[in-house]
Amino acid sequence: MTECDPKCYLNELKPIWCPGCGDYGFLSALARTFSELKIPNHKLFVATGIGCSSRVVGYLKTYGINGIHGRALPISQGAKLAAESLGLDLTVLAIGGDGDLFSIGTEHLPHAVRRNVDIACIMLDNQVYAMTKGQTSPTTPYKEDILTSHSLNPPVDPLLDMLTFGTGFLAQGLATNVPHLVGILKAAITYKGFSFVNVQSQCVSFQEGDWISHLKQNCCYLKEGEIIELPNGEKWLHDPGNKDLARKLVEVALKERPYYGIIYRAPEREGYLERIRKINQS
Amino acid sequence: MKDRIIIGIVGAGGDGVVTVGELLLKIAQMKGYYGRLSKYYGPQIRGGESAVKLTILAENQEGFIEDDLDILVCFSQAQLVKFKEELSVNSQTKIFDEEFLKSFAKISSQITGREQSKNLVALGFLLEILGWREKEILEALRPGEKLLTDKNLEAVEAGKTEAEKIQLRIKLPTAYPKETIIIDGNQAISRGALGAGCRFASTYPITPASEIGEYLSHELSKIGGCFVQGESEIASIGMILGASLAGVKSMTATSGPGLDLMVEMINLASSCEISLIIVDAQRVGPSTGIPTKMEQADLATVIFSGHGYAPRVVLAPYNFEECYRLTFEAFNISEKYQVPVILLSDQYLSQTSQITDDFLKKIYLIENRLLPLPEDKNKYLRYKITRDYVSPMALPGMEGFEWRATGLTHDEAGNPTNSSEWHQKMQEKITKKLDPLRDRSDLVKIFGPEKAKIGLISWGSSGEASLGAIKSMGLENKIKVCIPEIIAPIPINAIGQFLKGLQKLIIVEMNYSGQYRRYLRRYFDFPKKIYPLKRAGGRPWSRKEMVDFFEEALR
Repeated sequence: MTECDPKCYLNELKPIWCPGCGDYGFLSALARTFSELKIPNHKLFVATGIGCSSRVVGYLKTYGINGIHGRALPISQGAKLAAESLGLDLTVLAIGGDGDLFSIGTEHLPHAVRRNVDIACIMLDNQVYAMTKGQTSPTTPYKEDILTSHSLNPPVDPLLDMLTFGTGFLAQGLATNVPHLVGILKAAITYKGFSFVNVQSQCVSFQEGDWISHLKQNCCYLKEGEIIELPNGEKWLHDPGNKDLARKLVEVALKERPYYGIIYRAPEREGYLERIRKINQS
Repeated sequence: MKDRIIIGIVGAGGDGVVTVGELLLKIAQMKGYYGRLSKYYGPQIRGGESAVKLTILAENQEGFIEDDLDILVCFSQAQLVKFKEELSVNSQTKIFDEEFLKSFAKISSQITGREQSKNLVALGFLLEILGWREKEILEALRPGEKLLTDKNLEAVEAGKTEAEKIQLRIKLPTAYPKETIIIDGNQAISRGALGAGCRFASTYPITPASEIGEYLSHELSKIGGCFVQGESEIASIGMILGASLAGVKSMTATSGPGLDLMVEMINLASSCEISLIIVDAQRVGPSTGIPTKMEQADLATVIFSGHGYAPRVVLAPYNFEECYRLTFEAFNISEKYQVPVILLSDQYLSQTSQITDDFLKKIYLIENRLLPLPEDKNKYLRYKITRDYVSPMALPGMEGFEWRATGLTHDEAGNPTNSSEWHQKMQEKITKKLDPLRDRSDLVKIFGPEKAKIGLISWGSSGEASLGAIKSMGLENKIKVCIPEIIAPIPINAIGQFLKGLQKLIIVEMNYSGQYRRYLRRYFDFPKKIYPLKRAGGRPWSRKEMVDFFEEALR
């Protein structure tokens, strides 16, 4: 296996994103992640949905599909299980936006967690339907919020929901902090089992207020073994294996304090195909 | 002596009607007979009233039509009313009614302590009428049938004694044990899939297709494959699309409501040229319809569904063996042309059991996807427009051939484009690559004399019923029959040839609006006299309704 420059993972197409879009940061973090993990291009499969963030696969030099709105998860699970059954070591990612994963495709999330197929699911959350020019998304803040938008409903809470579903690996990153994001993506991809990463990605065209600046000002970076102070004054040593702490972290509203880093990492569990094989042997 | 016997049994939930039917079918097989067992349930699928109709045949035959009963065993008069069309009787039918069968419950109580084994008393009663008295048969069945306890076997014997009190005896010609199998359409399709190389399946439970997923979930894991029960039909078809992209032959199975949910992904597979197999075991629609009853009303949706223009292949087996064989075809076509293939079955084919010659022993050629040549490394064009419009498809793991599928209109490299020129070219590509299928005359079954002036076209299980009705009327030499097993693309030459010189054309299908007739109209001129036999589903074709119609058409 030869060491590869991050550029080797990008094809010749020029992204169509607006200048300043957070998805550029994510794309470069992704290419660096692949490079640092030394995964050969032909052993990568990336499935995405529809929307700005789902265009990401179109700029990669890997296998993959930019398929249907909300359906990155079933397609990626099918591809991973098929590859596993062939004995092919294929790294599989499912990438989508907040609309993809927490609106039209939400039905797939708890079941992907239960099956624990070894894929990394990455949500690029820009809090808006950007490709269709600014409609409210499931993560758009409520209208009485300080950072107003025109949502009439409270937003969903992706990390809280994913932890409740039983996700084995849960992390959060920021598209503007590429080096940090690379670390998280590497951990998510190398985690054996289903992992979920929420990435805040700014939309320069349709996000109301300076959301990213707000996140940066209020955020807290999680480092294993270091002290974190919760908004209620409690102090904890950060331990991604501590589910009680993870619960406390995901209960803090994003607007109040975004936590960046690995929020929860359970001991690795059996995957779906391993369970099939096991039942068959017994 | 008769060459077939038809027995109907009906009762309420718990009467054990289906059990008796299945045991009788197994015994008939052991005796060397052919036959089939159609099962009828109320709308609730699970529990409640049920009926079976067992036809025992002396010989295997092409074509089959459900006919009036010779014997009716009715545990419940109230339930019989619900199945009076399926269990049709005539003046010759010997009926054992609820009143008569009360003694069976008493006999069961005396022997087993419970009334429940009255169905086994009935089994003994029927065995005696058929002259199948040997105890050895039931003994041979015991290892696989927990039900056949010592006490229950006594109940069967008591039933035989009861039958000694009556006159009725019906004899079939003596048969000799043969290498036959008992199989239903769902099982035949599942076995065909495994034979054709399917190693990944994902389904969501739905009547009447669930058995395919159940079967494959057990069998695939034994041979290194994988089965996933999706969280929905959308998830299921997404799973198989992903698996197919990874290079594994994949299948899903559903019925109408599930098919509706799969349309978007079928469309994607058509555009991205991804091999997929979708089995649609049709049931009565629209909406929830009648889940447990047959209809052929999904035809228009499987051919035309989805936005834009998304060509796909539709195949429709007309009997059990074809369910098996056409599944091989479906996989081969799907792999060869990189196209979604829909295999159209229906509830009757899917869930009716048949004793038949062992067609599972037959093997067929298997085709695989065209892969790129090593010299195309690093300059691979996924959608290269070739002479036959089929482009080699690289699979994950192949170095230097990385490509990305997209639902966006794309160019030869697979890159998204807004160019109307590329759109035109790609529409042409996904259409024209299927052109050779229009010449697949072997997928159009023709029966009867070539020069006949009266023709009949039908598809799916209506085709089998039509053949059966024609045979029962002795009209095999007067009416020629065409059963196209490839529905889309249209087998233009074979059907065109069949229609040539016809004076009258009968078109048989089970849907209210005559979808196949309308579809054929787009391509062919019909003879002046057209006789469409069509009605909404809900029950299988009966001999009486077909005979009446054909007589009218022949006049």
